[in-house]
Amino acid sequence: MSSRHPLLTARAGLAAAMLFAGSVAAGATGLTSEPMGLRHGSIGEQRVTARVFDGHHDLGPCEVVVSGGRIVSVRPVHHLHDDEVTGWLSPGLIDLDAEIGQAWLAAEPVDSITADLRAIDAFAPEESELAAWRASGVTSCWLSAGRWSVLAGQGAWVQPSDDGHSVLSAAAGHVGNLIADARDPERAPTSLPGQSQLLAERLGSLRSGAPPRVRFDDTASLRQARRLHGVLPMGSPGATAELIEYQGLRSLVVTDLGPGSGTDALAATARLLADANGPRFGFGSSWLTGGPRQLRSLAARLVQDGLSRERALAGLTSDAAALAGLSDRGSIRAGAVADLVLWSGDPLLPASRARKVWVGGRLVHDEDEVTR
Amino acid sequence: MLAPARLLPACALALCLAWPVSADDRNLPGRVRRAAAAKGDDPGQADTGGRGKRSKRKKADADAPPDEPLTWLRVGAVHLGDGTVHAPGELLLSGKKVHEVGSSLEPDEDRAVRRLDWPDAVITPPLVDPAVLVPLGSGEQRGAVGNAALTTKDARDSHDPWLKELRGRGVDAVTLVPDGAGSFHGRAVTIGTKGPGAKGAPVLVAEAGLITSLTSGSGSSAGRAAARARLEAELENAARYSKKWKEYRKQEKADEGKKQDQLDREKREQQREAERRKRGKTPRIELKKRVKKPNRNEGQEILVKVLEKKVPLRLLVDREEDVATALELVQRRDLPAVLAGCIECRDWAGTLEQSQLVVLLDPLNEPLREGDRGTPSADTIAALGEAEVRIAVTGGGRWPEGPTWLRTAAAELAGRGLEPAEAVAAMTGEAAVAAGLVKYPDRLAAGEKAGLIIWSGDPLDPSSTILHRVTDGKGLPEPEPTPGEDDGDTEGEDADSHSQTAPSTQPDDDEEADS
Repeated sequence: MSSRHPLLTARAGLAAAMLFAGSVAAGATGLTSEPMGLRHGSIGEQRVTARVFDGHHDLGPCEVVVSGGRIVSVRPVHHLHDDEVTGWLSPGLIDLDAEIGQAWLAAEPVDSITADLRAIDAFAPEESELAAWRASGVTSCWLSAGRWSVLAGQGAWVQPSDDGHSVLSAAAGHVGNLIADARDPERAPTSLPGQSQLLAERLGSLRSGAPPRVRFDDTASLRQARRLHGVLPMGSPGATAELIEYQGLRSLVVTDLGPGSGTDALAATARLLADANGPRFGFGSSWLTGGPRQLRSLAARLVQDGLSRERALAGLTSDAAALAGLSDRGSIRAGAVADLVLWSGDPLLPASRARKVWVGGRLVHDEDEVTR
Repeated sequence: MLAPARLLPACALALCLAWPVSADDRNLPGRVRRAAAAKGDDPGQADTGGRGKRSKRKKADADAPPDEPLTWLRVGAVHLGDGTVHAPGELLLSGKKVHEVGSSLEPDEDRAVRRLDWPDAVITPPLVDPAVLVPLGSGEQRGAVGNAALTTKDARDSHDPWLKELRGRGVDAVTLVPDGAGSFHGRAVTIGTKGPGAKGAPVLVAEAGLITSLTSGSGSSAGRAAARARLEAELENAARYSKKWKEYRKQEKADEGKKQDQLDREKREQQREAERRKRGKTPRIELKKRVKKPNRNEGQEILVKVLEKKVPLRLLVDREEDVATALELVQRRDLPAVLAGCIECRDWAGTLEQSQLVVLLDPLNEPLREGDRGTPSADTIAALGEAEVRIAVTGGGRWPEGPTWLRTAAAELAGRGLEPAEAVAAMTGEAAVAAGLVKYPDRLAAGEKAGLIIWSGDPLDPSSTILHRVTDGKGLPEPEPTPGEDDGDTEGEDADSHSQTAPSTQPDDDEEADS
């Protein structure tokens, strides 16, 4: 974990104090903090009243109490109607496939993969990029090294913080690519089955914790990815027009809706994901031009095609956490880590903005401060 | 000597001051217009939000016979397509046309009225995506001005099923832009379906313009100067080409009328010539200057249309100096234009607003990393919105799925500081302008064709669906009589109102509605 500078801790305290002052003026929406004293790395009790999406359902107006970086309680506020609160509170968004810094360029040689290699060693996120993640309401994102080789190697769970970023966990040998760009004869066998075999050997030996990820970009590569036992496929469903390939799939990271697939395929994808027996899915921003800013747009696009709002939002929060093995994140419930976002409106609407973002109860983004 | 960075804002100010400001309130600064609307100087202006640049509230001199019943739609909001929104909104349709639009309408007492109420619904003009990339075949990249790949035939052959699909999403027309047109002249065409429903064949509905970049090649100053010089030279060539054809046509016209006289004269001349030869005198030859028929050049043809203001010039302007160049060029030559790119046009927002040029934005392709080429940042979009620059939006994709992202793209603009009404205008009325559509139901106003979409809710909300789509006044359900209608005590209803209907929650089947 990255260490915090005392001045930065003081800045967080100031932000909390300003937030407290703002919440009084804001009325029903805002975060109150009592007592105000902040200890190193821990945060005093805070309360927020807003319309809450807990990762699964719209709970309506609720009061959420946070203490020590975790959620203590979630209580409905019966005397307030939905239209009496102007903001929405949701769990922090989880980006299951992010590109920050040089991650998208780094192609780790197969031999360099070691279990103790951390993403922070290889990737150098820039503050402006981290700020974009924070402003997008993303509180956890998976970084994985380059997509241009069959074995991309390492990956790490990173949380954008107000003074840089912190690594939740890192894993080696966690990402494989079966995409066309990775079929470089100098790096790997050119045939898909050959690549698949290589991945099966390496991922199997290095596997730990959350399932390894394998990127696909067409029907053939998805078919090979599915033959690898226990992996989490990442790709664009729209790129695979033959939706029968998805039958029985249990998990999926949607990274794009794929060019050239046509609108029928997109609608079929939405139906696939909307199916109660369909795969559990989350979203990744690696293929989106605008990165994390478009995660919600991706979900909204599927809603336009028939996916329910709740499932789309769950894909950004609770279901993504479940796929990632982040059991104490992605939902608003007692005991969960206080990764929270206060939105200006319905979090599914691209027009809504992340007004405030907390990671582990710590305020890491304040729209008022950014625009001031 | 001023550094370029300091010189450009000065140029912006100078150009802003130099831009012709007419008495027409369209050219007034946005805040003045908004204030005028708020004071009620123009009763046709918005009830809430929006600019209302061109909206006029007037009753149409409907071409429908007076005994034809009016259709009275009462909904949650009506977006006119120019940034104006009436909330709650009402719309009166007469035959194929819009009769009146506004709030608290009072239909003519001598006209029969059928009323349809959808309190939560929102009405907009049909959506238009003014930029969808289509690949060109090899050998078509250069000189693609008159590109055969973008003809009506091509549209009919390859785009038919997708247009049907897009119509189901409220998108009536799309502008096909040759992919890779960033650094060369390319022709953009707008296709749509003629007639209601999926049965209408795709047709070319408009020339959407000539695409050219002012940020050619590497984007260096030399490259920019070369791009500008090339464009200027081609416009000059087009002007000469146009002049030649005009002279030739004038000559042909004159020849046509004098054909017989000419023949007679030539006959007499030949006789005199023969006599001179007999006498051994040197013939005196009179040379008459004839205008040679110019060769056809499709590339020049499209440029001539630009010069004649029939087709807009689509200028790709990435950097601040490109914006300055484009504005100067457009003003000096008085050309219709649409600006795309506009990464660094923040300081030019005021001038852009006064110029009334449409800026085409592609928010879904905004790059994450600073310095990448792409679309303007959120700050710039907010500045454009604040200055009330006319903004159109594209789904930013390739054919055919790009337009399906149109609503998402517009919602993105709303998230970056544009008012929701302006975001709706960006994908309807302003998008139609950018697509070169002139006679199209791109905005809802009295006397215009009754082409509209009725959404179940806010069109910027992805969960909103299309309840009904109306083309030429057709596509609406018959009102269902409600209990108590015959009691005659329905407060506020017109005496001749036939019926009213409860809100429909089921989307129409497009084909069924249109058939």
